[in-house]
Amino acid sequence: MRIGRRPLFFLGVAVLCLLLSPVTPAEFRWLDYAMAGLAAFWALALGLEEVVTSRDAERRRRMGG
Amino acid sequence: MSAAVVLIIAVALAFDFFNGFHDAANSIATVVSTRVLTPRLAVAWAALFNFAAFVIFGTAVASTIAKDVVLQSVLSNGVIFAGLVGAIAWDIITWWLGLPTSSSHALVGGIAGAAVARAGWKALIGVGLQKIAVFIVLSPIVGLLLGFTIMVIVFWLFHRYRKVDRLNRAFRRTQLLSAAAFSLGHGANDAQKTMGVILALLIANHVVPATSSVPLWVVLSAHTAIGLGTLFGGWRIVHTMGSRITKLNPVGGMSAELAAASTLFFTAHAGIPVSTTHTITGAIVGVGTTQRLAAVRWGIAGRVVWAWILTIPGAFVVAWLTYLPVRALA
Repeated sequence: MRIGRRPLFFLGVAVLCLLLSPVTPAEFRWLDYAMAGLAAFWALALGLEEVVTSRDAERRRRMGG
Repeated sequence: MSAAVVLIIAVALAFDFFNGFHDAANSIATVVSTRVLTPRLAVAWAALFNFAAFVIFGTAVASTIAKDVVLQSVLSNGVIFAGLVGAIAWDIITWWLGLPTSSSHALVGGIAGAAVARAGWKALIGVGLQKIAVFIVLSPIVGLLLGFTIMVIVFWLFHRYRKVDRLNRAFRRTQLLSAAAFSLGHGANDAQKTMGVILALLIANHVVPATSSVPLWVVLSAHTAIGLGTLFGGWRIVHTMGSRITKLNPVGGMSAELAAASTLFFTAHAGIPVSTTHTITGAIVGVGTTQRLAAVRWGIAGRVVWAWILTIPGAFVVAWLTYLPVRALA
């Protein structure tokens, strides 16, 4: 199974947000964590969508064949 | 108030005008590229809300620029003048090249460059610059994630709705509101930077005390200058932002503007000077990403990123060079 580029893109954004947190002033660090969480959520959601879509396509191909 | 102070205030307002000319085009890029408004009407719409921002937002960003970038003891008429010249020169160069860089960071780089030319690196305030530097990266990321999220929510809400034409018409109307919100955020954030420079100048010349807030006449003149700047220009950059990064429809335009406006409202409230250009670019990329990564023209987006990286050093060097003859003359 191959994971597409979009989940990896959002995973990269989540990692970038976490990397920013040590240099972010303490009063705004919550924003880094919130954005990392949101990006991780979308990475997971897009990853799951791709898994489900590729399984459906596989099933349709088998039924057609 | 001396003639020198009046002259530098005029230069600061000219910078604000160029800021409108250069950056405010971002406010109308999406609304023009989706053909919701004609360019002329869109410019007038953005200018109106740029000006109206002074009624809604405080002056926290102005205070950051005046007090948190360089030591107040280093600020002099020469430093502020050279900083403004550096920022304006950098804005004109990037406008000529059609690059949507940040006037805000040009201003920070300019003031920092002139202050270092006067008093060395110790003139810089590390904590304030750190906050600005972090948000250079963070503001487009927030724009991107909010743009993507708003777009997906709109898809979820309306994916069963079959009357696509009627839906598009409705979104064209809502885009007028989102463009107005973004222009408000832009006016609040960018006009305040000029207010900050003028406040620093007034404090340095003992026209107002160091603890003073921004006088009302400064607030009104800064908003007028940015509004007029918006009215007069920036078409080269509209083209880059509105159509070359990704192709937008009314729904996408509205989502991008709402995402960017929310980010700008937050930063204006928190007193963080961010780039409206960075923020709307991130939001447009976020909206494009809902289709697929290939929908975003990464070559253009990459060119924009390089322009961001070069802005603070570029304005820093121009201001540093400008300060040398200013010091000799003084």
